[in-house]
Amino acid sequence: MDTQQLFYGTIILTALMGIVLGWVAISYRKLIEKYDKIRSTGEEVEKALEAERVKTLEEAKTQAKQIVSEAQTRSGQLITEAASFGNETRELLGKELQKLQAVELGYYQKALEDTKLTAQTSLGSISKDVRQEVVKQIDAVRTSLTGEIQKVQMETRQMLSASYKKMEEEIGVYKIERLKRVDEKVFEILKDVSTKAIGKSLSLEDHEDIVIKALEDAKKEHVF
Amino acid sequence: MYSELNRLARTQEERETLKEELQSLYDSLYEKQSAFEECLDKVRPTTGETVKRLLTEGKIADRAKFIKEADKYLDSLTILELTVAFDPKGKSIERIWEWTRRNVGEGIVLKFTLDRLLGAGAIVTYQGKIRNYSLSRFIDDYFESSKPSLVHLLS
Repeated sequence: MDTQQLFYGTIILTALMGIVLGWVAISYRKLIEKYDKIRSTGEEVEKALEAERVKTLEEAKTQAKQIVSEAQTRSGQLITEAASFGNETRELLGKELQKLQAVELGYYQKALEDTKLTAQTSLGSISKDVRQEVVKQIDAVRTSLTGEIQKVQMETRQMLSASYKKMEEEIGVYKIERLKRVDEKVFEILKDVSTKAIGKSLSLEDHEDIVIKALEDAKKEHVF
Repeated sequence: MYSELNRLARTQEERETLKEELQSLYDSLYEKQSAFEECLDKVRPTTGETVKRLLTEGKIADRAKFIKEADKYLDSLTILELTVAFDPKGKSIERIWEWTRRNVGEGIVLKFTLDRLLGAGAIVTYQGKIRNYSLSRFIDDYFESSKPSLVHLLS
């Protein structure tokens, strides 16, 4: 009965160790994926990730060793406690334990290797992705800038065209106004010249006659 | 009686001159005895002759009163202002004044203002009424009414 308990206990312990190792591996993978997401932060992020990776690997190793060590210690204790086991059972148990250890160690090593590979792949692709991202961003900025420049050019052209049109209209109005003024001036000159010319050509008697005529008109209009 | 003086004061200038002459005659009354006669010889002949005749024909003894009444009459004359394009002298003044005396009535004094820009004719101002009968206004009216055809002609 004790042997059976020891056997199941060892299996449960080993299974727990496997779960812990799996959890460590998943945590590590998640961490790496997290780092992958923030890789756009550039070289500093890359360095930080590298440092973090090393640190995490070290921690994972330490934890794994600690777990294995604890498992061995616990197994030893259990074996010692079950001193009454038969040789056959002991051999069988020892073999099973070795198998399990080998399998678990294999899993652990594989998980570590996978994690390491994933980390290396992720970290290696960071610089490439960053470069691609930067190029993509530059392309986007360039496209945006080209669009903006074209828009500004179009707006400027429209503005200039409108200003030119307005200016032409104003010049047209000004021209008409000036021509009107010129006409007015011409008329004024003509009037002055006509008035002076007629006035000078008149004799004193003519002037008198015209003044008398003016008085007669005034009388007709009842000014007096 | 005093209307005789209107002929000596046909224009504003003549009226002022006549008033000054009357004042001189008035002042002479308070000088030596022969001063008044001497003064009559000094004023314009037409003035001296007219005053002598009026005093004789009217048998006026109070010369001072006569002069004061004459001065009042001159002040009562109505001004007819004529802005003209020429400077009217003797004959022209006489002709225009005669016309006004006959057509407007007695007691008119002409006030001439010279404005050669009028060309000819006159601006008549009488008792607050003003009428422009000048050549310049006639030409203005002509140009205003003929403007479209003149513009067409110029263009």
